[in-house]
Amino acid sequence: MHLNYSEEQLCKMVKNPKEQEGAFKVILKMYQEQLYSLIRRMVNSHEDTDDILQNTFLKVYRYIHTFEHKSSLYTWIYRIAINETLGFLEQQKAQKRVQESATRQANESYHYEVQTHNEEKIWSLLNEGIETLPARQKMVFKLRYFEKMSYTEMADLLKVSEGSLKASFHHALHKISTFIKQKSE
Amino acid sequence: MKTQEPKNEWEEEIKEIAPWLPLNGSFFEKKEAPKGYFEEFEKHLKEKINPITKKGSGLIRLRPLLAMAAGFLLLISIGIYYWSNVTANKKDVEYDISTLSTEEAALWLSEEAIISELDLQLYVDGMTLTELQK
Repeated sequence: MHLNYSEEQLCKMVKNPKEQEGAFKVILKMYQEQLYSLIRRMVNSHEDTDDILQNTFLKVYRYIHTFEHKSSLYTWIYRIAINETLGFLEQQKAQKRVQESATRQANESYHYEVQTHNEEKIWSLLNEGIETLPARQKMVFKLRYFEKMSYTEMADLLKVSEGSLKASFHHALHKISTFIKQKSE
Repeated sequence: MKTQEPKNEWEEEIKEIAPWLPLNGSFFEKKEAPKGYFEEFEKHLKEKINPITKKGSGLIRLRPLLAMAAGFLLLISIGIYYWSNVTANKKDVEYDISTLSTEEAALWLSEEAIISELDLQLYVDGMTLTELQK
């Protein structure tokens, strides 16, 4: 299957009921790797990424006929993936809260044992700091910092104003920096 | 496709507000899936999609039949409605003694039909209700 379809060609295929099945196959081939990378960065585990990616493409398949070209097809698919990931993160956060009190002490001692004074330590602390953020803030931080996504595109994806995204990113940075300072003392 | 800001703007923002954050390193690399993952992924997805397609196609096949059944029921109910209206009107007409011929009225009275006193009076006076109202 060749994948040299333009956004316009794909949209035409999506609108034609006879071609929707084919359009879905192209979409799957074109976007599965990008979406895998995006989701994997958000949830950190391959198994969870697999679940979220499957749900994302199932939704794309189910609702492809409702796509109205108000945004680009890519943005539409990306938004489904982001919403699925956010749902997962929020659910995970709720589950974590229950387990947290029982495991906090053990985790803390373990992390300090494995840390070394090099780049790995920074990444490890950073990762821990990111994990303390609420789901939406974590998403904003990762999209901006790791994916280097512009505020304009994030606003389009998350349906939030650019101003509040900037504020959210700054707030996340402040929280992470406070967390790292506390851990380093 | 995904639009990224020019690298400098991103870098400048990070340097300005969080100079302690690394600007490069292994964390920025694209997250790769394990080898052969996407083949398996497509296979599993297809398995999940098939029931949806079957369910959908079943409904699509049944759609004209359901529409026909609904149309038929609608026609039947409209028919019943009109029939009951006509019957009711017919009963009214039959009950109005002024529309009967003398022989019919005599027959009816001899069968002890229940009629109002007004009807009886009208019959005796040889008048119809319309004439009375005038």
